[in-house]
Amino acid sequence: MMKKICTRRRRALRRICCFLLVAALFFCGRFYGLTPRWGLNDLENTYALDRTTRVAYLHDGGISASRFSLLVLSENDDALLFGATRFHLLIGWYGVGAAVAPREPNAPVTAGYYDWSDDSGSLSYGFGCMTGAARVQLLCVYSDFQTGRSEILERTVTPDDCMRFGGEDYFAVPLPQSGHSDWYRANVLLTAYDENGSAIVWTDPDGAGGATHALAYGTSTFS
Amino acid sequence: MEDFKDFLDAVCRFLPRATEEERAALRKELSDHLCDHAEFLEQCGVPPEEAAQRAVAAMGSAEIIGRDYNATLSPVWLLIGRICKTVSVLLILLSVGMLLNTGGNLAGNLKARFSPASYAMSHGQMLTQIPLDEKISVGRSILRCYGAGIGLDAQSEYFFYLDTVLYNRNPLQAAPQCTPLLEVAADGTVDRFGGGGGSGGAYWRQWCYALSYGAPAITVSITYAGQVTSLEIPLNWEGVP
Repeated sequence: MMKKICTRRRRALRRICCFLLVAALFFCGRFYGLTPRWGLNDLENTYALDRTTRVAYLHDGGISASRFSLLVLSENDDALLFGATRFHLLIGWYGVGAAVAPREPNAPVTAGYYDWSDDSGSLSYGFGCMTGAARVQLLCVYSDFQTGRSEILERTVTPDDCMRFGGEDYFAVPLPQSGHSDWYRANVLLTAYDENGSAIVWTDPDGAGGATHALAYGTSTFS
Repeated sequence: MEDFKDFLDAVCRFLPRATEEERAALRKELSDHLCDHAEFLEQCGVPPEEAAQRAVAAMGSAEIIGRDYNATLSPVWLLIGRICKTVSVLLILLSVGMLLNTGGNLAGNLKARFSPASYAMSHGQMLTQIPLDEKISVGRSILRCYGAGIGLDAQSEYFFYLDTVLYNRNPLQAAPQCTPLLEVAADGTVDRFGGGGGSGGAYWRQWCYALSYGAPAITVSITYAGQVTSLEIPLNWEGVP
C-alpha cells in the first residue's frame, strides 16, 4: 500500500493548526497574561475588588523594575486602585502590587499613594479622583532619621493635571522626591480645596480628629 | 528491498536539503513503488531478478528523481513547522507548570469550601464552639464564617472569636491576600488581636474581641465596601469557668 509523502508545507500547516489550538487553550485557560488587563485582574483578585474599569495606563521607567511594566489607575463603585502590572516572558502580565482607596459616598475626593522600589530607586505616585474639589494639595514630609530635620515638598493637582473619565476627574501624579537620598518619607498629607480656596478635606498627620480619612497607601518592593 | 538499495542510495545522494525523516519517507515510498512494480512483473512470468531490474529501469534516473524531490523541499516551511512545534511544546510545558500551581490553589479552595474547620487556628483556650455557615460576598471572593465561640487568653481574659476563611469564587484562582474594603467588628469594636494563615487558595483568619463574662449575645458586623452584614450570635456560658 503506497502512502503519499507528507510535504513540508502540509506538515508545517498541520503544526500551525496544533500550535493555534494549544495557544487558544493556553490563553483561554488563563494560564498566561496576554494583556496588561490580566495584570489588573490579578490586582483586583489580590485586593478582593469587584471588576474595575481602567482609567489609564501609565509608563514610568524610572526604576529598573518598572521597565517592562505599566502603572494602572482603575476604578469601580467601591474603590480606586492604583498599582503596577509587569510583563514576564513565562507568565505574561501579572499584578505587582497596588494601593486601594475606598470610595466614600459623596466624598469630594478619594485619594491614595503608591510606592514601588527596587535596588535602583523608587517611584512614588499620588492618585485619586476629584469629584467635588477644585484643587488637591499633596504634601510629602521627608525626615532625616539621624538629625530629626525635615522638609516638606508640595505637589498641587489641578483639573489640568487630571484625566476626565466617566464624568469625573482622575489624577495619577509622581510625588516630589527629596534631594537627600538618605532621608525617608515620613508622611504624605492631602488637603483638598473648593473653588473658593477653602479646605474641604484634609488628612490629619496625627491620625486623630479633623481628618476625613487617612490616605490609602500601598507599596511594592523588588529585591 | 535489498534489490533496490543501490538505486535508493543513489536517489538519496541528491537530497542535500532533506532531513533524515524525509529521506526515510522517500526511501519507503520509492521502495514500495518498486516492490509493487516488480511483484506485478513476476506475476506476469518475469524472473524475480529481471523483474527488479526492469522496475528500477522504469523509474528513470536516480539523479533526476533526487534533484526534483530536493527542489520541493522548502527550508521556509521546515523552519515554520519547527518553530510551531517548539513553541507548542513550550506552551504545553508552561501549562503543566501553571496547572501544578493552580492545583495548589484548588486544594486550598476546596478545603475552604468543604472542610474549613480542619485548619487549626487558636489564640488561646477555646471554651465553647458555635458552628456557623455564613457566606458573604467580598468582591469576586467569598468570606465564609464557619465558627465562633468564647475563648480564654493567656491573661485569663475572656474573648469572643470568629473563625473565617476567604476564598475565590473560581476554585483555580488565588484568594485575596489583602482586603482593604473589609472590616469585621463585634459590638462596635474592631479586632482586638487575631491572625491566621493559609496559602494561595484560601486564607483563614480568627478575629478576636474582648468579651465581658456573662454577655448573652454578641453582634458581629461585617462590612465590605459599605455593605453591612450583621450576625447576632448568642453566647452560651454554661460550663465556662
